[in-house]
Amino acid sequence: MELVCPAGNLAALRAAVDAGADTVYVGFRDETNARNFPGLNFSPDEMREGIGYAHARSRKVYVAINTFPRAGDVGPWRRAVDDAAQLGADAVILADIGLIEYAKRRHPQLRRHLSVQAGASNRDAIEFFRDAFGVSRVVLPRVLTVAEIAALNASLGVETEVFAFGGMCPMAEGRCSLSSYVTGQSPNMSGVCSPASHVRYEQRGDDLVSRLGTFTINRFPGREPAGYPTLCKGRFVAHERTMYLFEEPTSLSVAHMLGDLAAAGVSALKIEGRQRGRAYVAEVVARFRRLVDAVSVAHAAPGRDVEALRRLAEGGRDTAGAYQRGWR
Amino acid sequence: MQTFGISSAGVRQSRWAGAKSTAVVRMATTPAAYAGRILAAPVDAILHRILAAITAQHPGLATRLAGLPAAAVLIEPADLPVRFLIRLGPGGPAVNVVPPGADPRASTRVRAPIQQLIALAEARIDADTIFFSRALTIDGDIEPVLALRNALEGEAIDIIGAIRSVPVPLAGSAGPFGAMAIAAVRLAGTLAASARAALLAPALDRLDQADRTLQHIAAAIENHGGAARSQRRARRA
Repeated sequence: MELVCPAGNLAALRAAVDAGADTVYVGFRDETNARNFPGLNFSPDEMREGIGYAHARSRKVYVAINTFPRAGDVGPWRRAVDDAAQLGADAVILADIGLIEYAKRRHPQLRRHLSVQAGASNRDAIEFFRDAFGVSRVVLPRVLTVAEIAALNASLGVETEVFAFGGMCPMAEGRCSLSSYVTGQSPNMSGVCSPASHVRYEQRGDDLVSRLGTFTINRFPGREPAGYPTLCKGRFVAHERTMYLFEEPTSLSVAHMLGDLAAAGVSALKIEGRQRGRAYVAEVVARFRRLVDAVSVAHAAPGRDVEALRRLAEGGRDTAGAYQRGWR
Repeated sequence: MQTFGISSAGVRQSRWAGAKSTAVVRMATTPAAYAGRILAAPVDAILHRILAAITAQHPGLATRLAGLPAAAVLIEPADLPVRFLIRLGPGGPAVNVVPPGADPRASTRVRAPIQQLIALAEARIDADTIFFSRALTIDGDIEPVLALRNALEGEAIDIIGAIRSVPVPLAGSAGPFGAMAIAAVRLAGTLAASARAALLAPALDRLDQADRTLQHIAAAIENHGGAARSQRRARRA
């Protein structure tokens, strides 16, 4: 399985390549990708340098252009596709139908991957993207079990890439507007979930309070591990109980089930986290490199790597999410 | 090139040459605060030289921070009696030491042990991970801190190298607070080996000196008391 790793800047890209990534995925420094955070991402010059660094070591670079263009202003998104092609990207990761059609028409030789933001989670949808737009790979939403992924792979004729570690998004990707309800900005259109300009953390005695816009969305008492300030991981009062309604602060991890995913015919494993630091990228990639290599020679996953990855997780906890659906 | 100064109105100004505007942080103008600023000035000069060295080596830093609204981030090393104020926004980045007793307006406070703060600035550890673990405290607006983190991550800056590259005046020429802060800045360069001990050394030296002084005073009092007792005994006799 191909190991596809995140990089939010050139230093992280180098760290990912040096740690053993087969491929690094990146984005331009604007709203055309779903990690549009201040100070993050690549200028075209940095992108050229990063692609050069990876190619010199026989690794690949995919460029995520996976937000949905504004009505009447498709220019920045088309320019991003043109730039990615001109700079020598190995593939573009796209979500919008119009943009995929543009990429196919203008750059037919450039591989097109379907972003998770397109939310294609069933055979009909995936085959439509394959037949109409020549999509080579689909990044599957985090809603399928391993058995369902195996069934898809048995007849699709398209590579599948699945999330292996990092942010655990419990909503239907490309369709979640929770952030937009509070801030007016969402990952789908603006490339940000809970934009930093709307987030405050407040220390109240020993407690840490997270606020989004005018709402308090969580309160972490004492030394309880903290999490990201997203509404889907907010703690709410319902039926006179304070609890997590959608998802707890936790990270996705399939470190212990790579063999199952390989057997299900998965082509690539995606590590989430372009917003994380290069120290994180280097450690997660190195540990997954060992895990994937162990699976490829039918060795047991190194337990120390599985445990170490948990320490890097949001809230200090991990879950296999829908892959196992342990809540059923 | 960066310049700084204190205007006649008692307003500290820090300016990034070539910038379109000037960032100003207004501070209290009480006599104590004014004295504090005078004591802080030599340290600020060193900090400005360090920042100038960093930005000269990493022009991408300003690019990544461009477009941010004005914001001030208060950096509080949890294990040192020194705080720093980083200003972002129009005018470019600037850093000042916070005089003791001052209460600068800051959009965000960041608190962690000094070794972790420097490791974060050099992107040797992951900020999210230590924030999740609560070892790093962030209090206030997230945007300036996130932008600063991402800019530092993107530039792979050698903070220790920059500190070591800047000549530092003798600590004793800057008064007690200046000596402490300058020593902290200078000795930060040795953090990789023995940061905490090195940074606490000036404070420990002063404690030793104060202790010696107290012993001297106590001995003098004892001597004075002994002489008085002798005189009383002589009078009774």
